[in-house]
Amino acid sequence: MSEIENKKSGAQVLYECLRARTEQSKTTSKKFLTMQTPEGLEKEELSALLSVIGTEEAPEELKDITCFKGRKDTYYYDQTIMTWQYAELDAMISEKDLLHTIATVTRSDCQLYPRPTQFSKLKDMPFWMTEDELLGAAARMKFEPEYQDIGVVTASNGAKGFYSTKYMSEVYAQALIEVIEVEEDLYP
Amino acid sequence: MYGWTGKLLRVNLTTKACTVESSEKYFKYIGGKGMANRIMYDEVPAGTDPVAVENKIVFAIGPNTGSNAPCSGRTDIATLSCFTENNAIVDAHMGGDTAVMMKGCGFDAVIIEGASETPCYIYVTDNAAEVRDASHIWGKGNRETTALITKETTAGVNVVSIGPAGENLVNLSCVITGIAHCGGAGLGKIFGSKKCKAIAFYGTQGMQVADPKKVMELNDYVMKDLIGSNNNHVIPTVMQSWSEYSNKSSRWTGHPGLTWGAAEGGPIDTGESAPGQPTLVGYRCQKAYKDHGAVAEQYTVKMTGCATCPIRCYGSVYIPQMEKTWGVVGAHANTCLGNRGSSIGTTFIKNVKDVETEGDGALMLSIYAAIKSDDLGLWDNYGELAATLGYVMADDHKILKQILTEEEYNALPWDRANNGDVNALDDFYAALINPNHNMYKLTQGAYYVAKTFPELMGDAYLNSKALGLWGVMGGKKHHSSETAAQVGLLTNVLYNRDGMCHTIVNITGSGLPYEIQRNIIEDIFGEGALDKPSNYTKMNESKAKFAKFGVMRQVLHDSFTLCNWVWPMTFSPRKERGYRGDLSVEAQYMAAITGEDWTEESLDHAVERDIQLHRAMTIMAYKTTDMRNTHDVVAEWVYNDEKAYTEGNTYLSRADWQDALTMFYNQFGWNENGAPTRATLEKFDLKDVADDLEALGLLG
Repeated sequence: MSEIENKKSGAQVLYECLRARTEQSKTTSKKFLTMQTPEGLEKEELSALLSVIGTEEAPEELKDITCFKGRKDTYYYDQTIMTWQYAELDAMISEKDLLHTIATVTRSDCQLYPRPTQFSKLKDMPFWMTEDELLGAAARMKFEPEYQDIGVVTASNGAKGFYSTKYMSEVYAQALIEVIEVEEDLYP
Repeated sequence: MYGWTGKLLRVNLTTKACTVESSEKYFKYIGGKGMANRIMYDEVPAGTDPVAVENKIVFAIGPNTGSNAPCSGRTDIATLSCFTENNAIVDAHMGGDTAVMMKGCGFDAVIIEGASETPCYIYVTDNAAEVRDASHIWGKGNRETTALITKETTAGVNVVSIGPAGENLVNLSCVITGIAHCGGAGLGKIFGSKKCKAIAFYGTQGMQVADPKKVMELNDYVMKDLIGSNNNHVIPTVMQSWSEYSNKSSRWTGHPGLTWGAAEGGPIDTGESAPGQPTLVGYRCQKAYKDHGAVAEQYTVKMTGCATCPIRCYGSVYIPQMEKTWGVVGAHANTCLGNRGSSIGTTFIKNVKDVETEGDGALMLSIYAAIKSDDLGLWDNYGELAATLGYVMADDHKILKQILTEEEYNALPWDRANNGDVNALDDFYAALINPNHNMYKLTQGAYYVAKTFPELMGDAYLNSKALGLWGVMGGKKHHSSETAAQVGLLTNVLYNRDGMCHTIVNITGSGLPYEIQRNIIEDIFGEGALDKPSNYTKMNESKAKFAKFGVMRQVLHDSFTLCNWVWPMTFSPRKERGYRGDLSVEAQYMAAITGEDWTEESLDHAVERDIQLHRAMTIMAYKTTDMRNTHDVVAEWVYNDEKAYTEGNTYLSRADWQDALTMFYNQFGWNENGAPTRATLEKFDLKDVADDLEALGLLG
């Protein structure tokens, strides 16, 4: 280790760790940091630094770092290069709660765009869900009270998508899945 | 002189004379479409037969062409329509390198007139041109034609040629440049009627701009802050660490893990390309993947495109197994529907087997059909030809069997086609472009197909959703009521072909959530301008303004020239800007290039002059001022009076559509039936046009 690196503050070490992981499109959980504490940082100091991230008491080196609480842990990332939306998604995927992830993304898509959440979207980066997982999730959600608003619509080419009755009717979801899976391809 | 070259080239194919004239009197029409349309107005009387020697072909570019502004490499080519009703004025909008080469030759426009008795081609160089013999090239495909003309002229020459489809006077035929870029509008037939196999450009002259520093600043601004991907989609297909949104429908397909899989030296990852990094813009559009699906990734060599375009929407693929399997070198580049062989492949060939990887059979069929279509110069008219073929082949080929003789039908290789023999396509293509085969009648364009087969097809065909015309005059839907309701449909009614107006669909397809789109659009055009997708409201004045903006910008881009498949910069990919783009950029370029005092308003005025002229030319071709009940009649599939304006459909009602036309006509100062008045024409310095219309009894 060089002399210069020896002089790095604990805050600087933590920042560089979190920055590097953000650059790799990853949020960092508190559990990860505790298990793999960055070299040159003591656990006590790490704990103290983490406790002030996102507050006015955060040291200057950590001003770009922010955090949020997921369902299972707290997550940290550099907000100058990663959006909150991406960070939330990355944390949610890392917690591996398939039903929660699908429902959250579906509700957001139906409210925002509006559009059903295509199975093809969930099979792609960053979700990488399989057809079996998606069909299984759709079946399980029918029996979970908190997911009673989630349904599935199918386009004329067989492509499927989730929708939320909180934000759109089945008729509307059915029309939109046909547009985005079939008609946009006919008239690109 | 800045921007323009100040010269036009006139090539008379009858006398072989090539003369140079001043182009300055056309500057007030900006250039490109505006200039070409005015030349056609001055020199080709309405009612001229498109294949008569009196018809002309006008290539025109604008002051922006070759300026180095992003996407400024477009060429406008005007002539009379051979495939839509009343043979009115039409333009083809072609990409590639032609526009920049033409400016390098020193010409704002090239007028091709007369007709040769024997096959010829035109070779244009710096401030000069000659007509050469093409007897040895006639009959050859566009690939070989390009190679032969390059060999006998000079390396780097830009060749615009026709294939056998144009030679055989197929209405749906095109010119091709760079082996891939298409200029449609039936141009192949018009070239063929003049026995003109090609026009080739090789220019070495630079262009002058008044304020090069400002042009470079604007380029930097556009590249860093405004441009997204193809169609200016500003949101990526998958979430990236810098993005707030994602949208599977976007053409910003590039993302970590998606590659140009067959790139020289190994796969190139398209990666993250966050806004503000101009050198990464070219990785945003992996178009082969978008057009063909995931199977195309491994065969993608790179993205290509037009001169001065940073977007690169042409997916270049190389599929080695095609040569071994089907005897064709599987190298091809095109975009959008052109990348799919116009869907003609899947119309005829069924049950294609994969060869090496899952899905490569379907991909190779698309590429095979695309190669053949481009080589023959057969124009799909945005899927119209495939739709017509699908229509006559429905119900076990019920209609087709009545169009073809029994001998013709039985001679076609149906068994091979049903068993996935892709080479069988050659026989179908041969029939389609053979004037002595009844299949040829299906390539006339929908309007003439319906006229040829009034009982078999007729109005039912013209108005069907399966065919998908916007208007019964034969204009193909190339975005209509599915795009922003009445707004998208209105953008078609000015044209005598498919509208090809991308201003509106670039907005609705941008990838942004509806609320963001709506807020920005309403700020510009007023409340109620943009409906939710498939959840429409009735017509209003804000929508009329929005529709006018759509065509105004398209005509500006086709005249200036810029690519309307990317421009205008209505939105931005930058969240810091609230995703708001900048609609003043074109006027800023115009001022910087010409050194003249141009504003958004003055540029709009010039653009509207072009539109008023075009409308007058259409009225002269139709010989009536009642555009509402002739030219502007839309296809029946658009309407459903009961379902219109309910959630989950895109139907309009008949009464509301009439209101929409009225509001749209008002935007342009036209009378109740869509004809320009004298006051309107004189406002745009078109008194001579008003006088001509009045003399014909056609003034609104």
